[in-house]
Amino acid sequence: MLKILIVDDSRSARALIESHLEKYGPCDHAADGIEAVDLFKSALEDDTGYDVVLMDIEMPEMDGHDAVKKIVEIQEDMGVPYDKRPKIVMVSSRKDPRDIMKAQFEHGADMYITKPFTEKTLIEALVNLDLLDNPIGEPQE
Amino acid sequence: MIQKILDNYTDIKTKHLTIGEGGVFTKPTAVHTVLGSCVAVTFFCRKTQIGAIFHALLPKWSDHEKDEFGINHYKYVDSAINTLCNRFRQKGLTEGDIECKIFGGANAMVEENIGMGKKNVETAFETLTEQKMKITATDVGGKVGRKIVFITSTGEVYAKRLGG
Repeated sequence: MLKILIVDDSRSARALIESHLEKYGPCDHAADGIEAVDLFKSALEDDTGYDVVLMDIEMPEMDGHDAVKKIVEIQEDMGVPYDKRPKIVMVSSRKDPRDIMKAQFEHGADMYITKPFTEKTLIEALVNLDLLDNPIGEPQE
Repeated sequence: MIQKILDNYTDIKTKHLTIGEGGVFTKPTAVHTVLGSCVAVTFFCRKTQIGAIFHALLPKWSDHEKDEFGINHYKYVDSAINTLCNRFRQKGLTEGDIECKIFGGANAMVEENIGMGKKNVETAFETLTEQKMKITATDVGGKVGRKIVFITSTGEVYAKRLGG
């Protein structure tokens, strides 16, 4: 089972993501970046860290970019090995290339999905991050 | 390696894409390729179930060639995107019909190519935006390469990070 954190200020967006992912594991919700960082930190301290974080960008208090930056800092401070870190998938209606470049090249998000998305796109992202059975297996190249 | 994927599809061909290759696939094909700092963009039209993909090495053709005539368009990100967009338009399809995904652009370990992955991805965004194409997902950057398999008739892309 996966442990999933869904971060979005829209309750309906969180519910939609949960409806697609609840069969893979329990989903916690956060409505802004600050709440997400708090939940993330508590889970790490309790040794029940998340496998994947689905992060919106435009949110009140702390946006998704800053929240991801903070999450990466926390993991570095706590010495979480790179291969044990949760995967971070940005899920945003922002289609500006600058947002995508910033998320993936500067802050280290693993993937970026643009809203509106289909269930297939969401599942494909989790497969490609090896969180669900990846049919490619272990490439030799 | 991709047998597990092919088991789910009947009557599908396979094609290994090397650097500087690309094309439009009207018949169901599993196109696979391995990317480091190179970039692949997949194009999928749900209406016609036609897919297209390229594997480009460098960002812009004009930085390396004097004349666009006669060049390998799939070697450069900008000319590859423009070529495939034109091929779709020749088939009567518009930007609203097509979904694009971007893969690759890892940080190269070879000194002369440092930063090339990022430039390739930047050029992909720039050119797709100019062409008004819809980007649905991106899996770019990072320190390791990726193997990808694109099912041209469904738009699915399976990716796997290599080592790291």
